[in-house]
Amino acid sequence: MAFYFDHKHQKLDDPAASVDKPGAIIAVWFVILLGVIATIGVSFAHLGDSALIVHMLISVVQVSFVGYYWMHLNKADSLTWLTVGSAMFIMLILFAMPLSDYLTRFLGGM
Amino acid sequence: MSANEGALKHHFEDIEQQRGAERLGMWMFLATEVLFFGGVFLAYTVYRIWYPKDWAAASSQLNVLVAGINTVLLLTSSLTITFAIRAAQLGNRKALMNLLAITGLLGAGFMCFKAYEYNQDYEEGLVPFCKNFGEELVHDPDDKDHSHAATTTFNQQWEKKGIAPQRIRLFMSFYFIMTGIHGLHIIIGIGAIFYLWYRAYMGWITADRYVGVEVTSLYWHLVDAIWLFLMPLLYLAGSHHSLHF
Repeated sequence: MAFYFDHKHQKLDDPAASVDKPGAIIAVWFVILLGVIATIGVSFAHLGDSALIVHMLISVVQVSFVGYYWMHLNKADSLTWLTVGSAMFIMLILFAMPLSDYLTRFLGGM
Repeated sequence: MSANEGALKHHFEDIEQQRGAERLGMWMFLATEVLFFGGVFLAYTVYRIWYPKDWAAASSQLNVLVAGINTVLLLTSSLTITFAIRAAQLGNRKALMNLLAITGLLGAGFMCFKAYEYNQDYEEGLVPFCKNFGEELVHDPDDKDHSHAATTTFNQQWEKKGIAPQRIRLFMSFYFIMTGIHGLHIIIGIGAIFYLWYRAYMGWITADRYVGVEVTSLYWHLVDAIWLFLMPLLYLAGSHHSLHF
């Protein structure tokens, strides 16, 4: 374990105190791998158009695990969460506005 | 002078503020990356909804087994780089170097399989704007026991099923653009990881200077996360019956 003394503030800095537990890192890997098996399995189940929804739901769960545990959002400060939230919000606008046009053209009026 | 005094830049209040700023900088870059890929995903969504039958037929031509192996390689590389952060924080230089090398090699393995797949796509006439597009001779699906030699082409099969070859070409263009941009990110990531390995080898990464490993891992995880969306969207848009090379 490495300790470093911060002379400027007269306090200890201990990076080793915030390490992830190996079991937790591996558990996340297993969960995501299960998702991979599930998503490939779904493509053999002949679900038709609804397969897309199942695939995307599995992907969202997998990416949430990657973000929260491996990318350390569970330890992140509010500024980081604000950055992630802003990206998601702008992404929502990016999808909502053009899709509201492209996917409603069959209704006529153009 | 302690190691920490060296790690702390003069314009930061303390080491945690400095680490937070370094992480935030990478997160802001990742936000721009999400929006960059978002535009391509948006265009994909529009065409997928407009031409579901054609895109399902095109997707069924892709190699799911190679995509599955690549997914496992990439996920495992994300696992090893997460362990690399841990090794850096604990000041375990040897483990850090080994884990970074494994991560980089897994990324390189991903690119090798991708190159194999691109070559297979070319040989099967699936590269848009190539002369042989859709002209690969294949068995007629109505000839169940393959009693006759391959006498039909993909183009003929698609037209027989009412699928427009132009839309297959469009799907394949999306496939090459999306996997190409992603592959470029992988190559950049591999470069960054081996640069970190060099820094670790030189002894420049110490426990109080671990953040370089952490911000690189953020980038690598994002590339992994994008693949977790790309894989089902491209390879699993159509139904499959078997896994094979």
